[in-house]
Amino acid sequence: MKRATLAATAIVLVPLLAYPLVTIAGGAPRFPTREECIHPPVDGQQVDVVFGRFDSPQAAAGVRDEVISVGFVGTGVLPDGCGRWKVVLDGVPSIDVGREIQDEAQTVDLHPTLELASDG
Amino acid sequence: MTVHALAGVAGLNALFLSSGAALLWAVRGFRDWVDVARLAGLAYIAGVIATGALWTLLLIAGVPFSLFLVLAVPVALTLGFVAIGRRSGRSLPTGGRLATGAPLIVTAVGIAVTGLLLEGLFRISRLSGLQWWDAWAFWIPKAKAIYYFGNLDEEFFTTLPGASYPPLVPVLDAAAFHVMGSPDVVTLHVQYWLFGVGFVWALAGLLAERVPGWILWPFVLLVLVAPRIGRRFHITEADLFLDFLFVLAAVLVVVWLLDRKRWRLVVATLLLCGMVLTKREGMLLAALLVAAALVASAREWRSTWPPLGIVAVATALVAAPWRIWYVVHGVAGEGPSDGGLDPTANAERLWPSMRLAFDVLLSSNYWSVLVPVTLGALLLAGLTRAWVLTSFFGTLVLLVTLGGGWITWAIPELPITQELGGNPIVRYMGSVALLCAAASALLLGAAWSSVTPRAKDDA
Repeated sequence: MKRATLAATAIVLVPLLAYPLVTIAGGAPRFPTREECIHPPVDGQQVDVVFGRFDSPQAAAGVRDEVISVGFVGTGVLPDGCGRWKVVLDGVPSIDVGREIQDEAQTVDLHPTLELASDG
Repeated sequence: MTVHALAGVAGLNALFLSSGAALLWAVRGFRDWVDVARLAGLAYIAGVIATGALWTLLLIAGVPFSLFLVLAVPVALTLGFVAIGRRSGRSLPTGGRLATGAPLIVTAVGIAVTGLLLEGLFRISRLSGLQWWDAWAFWIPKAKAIYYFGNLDEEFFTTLPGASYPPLVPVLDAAAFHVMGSPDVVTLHVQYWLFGVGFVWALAGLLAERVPGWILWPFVLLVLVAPRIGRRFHITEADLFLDFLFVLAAVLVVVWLLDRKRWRLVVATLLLCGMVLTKREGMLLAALLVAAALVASAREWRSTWPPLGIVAVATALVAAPWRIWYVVHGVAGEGPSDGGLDPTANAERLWPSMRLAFDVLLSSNYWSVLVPVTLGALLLAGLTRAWVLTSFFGTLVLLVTLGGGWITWAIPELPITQELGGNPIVRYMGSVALLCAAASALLLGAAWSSVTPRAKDDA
């Protein structure tokens, strides 16, 4: 085999084999935990006000109806990407506004959390 | 994601490759093993479409979709194409010589960097969830219905969103579910990643015939890093899959206009048939592609228009069964409710709709620098009198963009917005952006060959 062919073969094979080997050497692939689906809010980005996570859409819908009945219109149920359903008021423009909503919710005995808004 | 599921996907894709390779061997033949390697991506995509289109037509005809059918069709196609190749006197490929010197090293670097990026994208694909609205609202439910019921369940298929969308992609998904042993929507993302790999390989293999490596590989890489292209390879929707077929068909048709090798038109016809079985926009894109080819070859219309007419008729014939199925089952049609051809209707929407299409076309947030580079490449190729390429790609980019404006204008229910949930314009315009990558490489390759005597000799 000519030297140029050998060099070309090495240029292709070395990185293509090294990358997966280095990746696998760092440990076997793993699924994220459910907690890793929850991202803390970030300044300057939209937040979600989350009233809870549930294993079934029916349970989530029940809580959503309660939340709406006490005035948090626009609250909906969305899958959270980790097998659960979240009751969420999305599109909140900032952390400060989110905290105001949290304070208001506590007056009716609801305890929502703030999360970084999920992509639409 | 189980080993069984991954092995099933690997086996199915090996069948796609074998049927497509047999098809290419029958219609074209292979010079040597380097030729085989260069065209393996095109063979794979051709196999996906030949097999998928036949599955789809059989399903529409009422043949139960089972694991037996999933395996029997690609095996039968492979054997059939091998028999045709043997009768045509095709010989088996032997030996093969790589390029030498700098071009070989450039190609090796291009393959290595592209391969690394694709490996990185595989890491996203291997454990991705089903998070895109269209995917979980109707593409995957349709696939699961085909998998579970083995037919186009009338009640289900006529009531889901996107009821008039052709079923090729759900059929491919259902085939993957059969070989995985379950409707494993996580592993399914690997199947879509493989479609992406096949497309990149096919594009590079086709362009490598006419474009020097130092021009070709930057555009291949640009495809992979453009925000709304490479990073979406794993998404289980039909948009990017349709764009793959459109771009490969466009490259095959325009190169056919240059060298008139008949196999290109045969494979392009197959891909156009795949387009009209994939999405309703596929009809529009296929028609515009043929129209651009007619324009670009107008000076030689006696020799080019009849074959292009045959291509159009064959595509329409393959499109017909699905259209008959949904009309018979009372599903509303694919186009605007009023036909979309009355220029006085919704006149106030015309300019904003066209402007929206051009805004999306020129957005670097979606397509990086692909479109501006293509405009420059069109200018350069025009200056070097590469008329066929310039007129074909110039016409096609313009027509597809105007088509995007027409969709928004003619369907008054669509808001004039780039918002993905409201208007399909961004998804649709992905076809032009991806086309721009192929167009730029071919246009710049032609411009380069016209100014370098050695390249001209090679061209």
